[in-house]
Amino acid sequence: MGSLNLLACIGALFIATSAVVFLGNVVSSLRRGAPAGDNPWNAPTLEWATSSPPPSYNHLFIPVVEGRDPLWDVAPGELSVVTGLRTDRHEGLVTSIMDAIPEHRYEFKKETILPLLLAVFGGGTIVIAIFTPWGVTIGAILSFIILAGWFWPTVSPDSDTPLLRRAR
Amino acid sequence: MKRRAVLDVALLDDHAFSYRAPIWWGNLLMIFIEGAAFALMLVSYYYIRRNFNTWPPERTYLPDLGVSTANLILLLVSVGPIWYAAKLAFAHAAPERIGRWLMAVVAFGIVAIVLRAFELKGLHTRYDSNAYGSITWMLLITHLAHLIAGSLETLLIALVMFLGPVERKHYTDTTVMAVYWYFVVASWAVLWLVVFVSVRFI
Repeated sequence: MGSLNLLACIGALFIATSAVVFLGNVVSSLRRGAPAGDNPWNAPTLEWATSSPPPSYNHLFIPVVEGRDPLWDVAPGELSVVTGLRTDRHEGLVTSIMDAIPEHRYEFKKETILPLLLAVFGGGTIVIAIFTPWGVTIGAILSFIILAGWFWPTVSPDSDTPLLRRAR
Repeated sequence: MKRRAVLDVALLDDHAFSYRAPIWWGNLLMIFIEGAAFALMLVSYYYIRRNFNTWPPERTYLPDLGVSTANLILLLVSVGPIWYAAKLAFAHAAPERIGRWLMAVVAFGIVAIVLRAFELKGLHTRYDSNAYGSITWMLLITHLAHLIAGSLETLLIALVMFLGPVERKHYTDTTVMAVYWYFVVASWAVLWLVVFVSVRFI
């Protein structure tokens, strides 16, 4: 038993030493040394195509990927991107399933409090249902009202969204 | 990093139908989930049957065939207007025209919901009488929830067609709603066969 205990201690000390080296590296790197840049290893994959640290939206334009190594398939320091998505509302790109050929643009909803309310009422429904079955009925009605409000189309007056008919 | 624009998607359509639309897949997967729930309940029905000597249990009348069959015919007829509404949506027809056909489906849905109350009465058992009562009530009430949800969703899309700002993507919503309604009708056909017909032979 004693020798195994000793082995475990040596291993723990070994790991602790590596942690000290790591922390020393962090401190010395913070104090001096050149910043590494966005893609210090010239890696080929998309996560290296954004700036470091990355902005909250990650990629301003959707990258076009035509092979396994998208950043090596184009000229160094270049990134092929998609343009033409609308900027006045949230829009995504829907592609074909197997070949990823762009087929249509897809509008996402605006920022809204309604999904949070739906989660609160959905969870509340289950809590209330523990005490009375009416919790299900009331929760279902409230959930439908929230879902209906979430579904209801909202188009700002200055948007140039093609409308079949304006709101009445 | 320098960006090179290689693909301009500005001229792509703003909606698509059938398997090209994400919402079509979402609806289909929900139908799989709901269908699996129904399948589990149907297996439970026949499993419970094995624990009884007679079916329905002793001192229980056979469920009434009349109202439930009327409801089945009503729902089968309601496939007509929802199918036509979807056809109009595929053809990018005027929103008001689609809305009128959707309101017809809502009317069918309301009648089906009212008939469901008489079907429950026609079961001649309470939900808490025995396992037979529990499973038959559960099947009918679960399907009732689908009827209510389907009718409300159809009503919502109809209201958008009449009142809201209508965009071309709402055509896709109409066709997806039709698929859901087909599921509601088809699941009732199966439940009717099990609860009201097969009970007479097993």
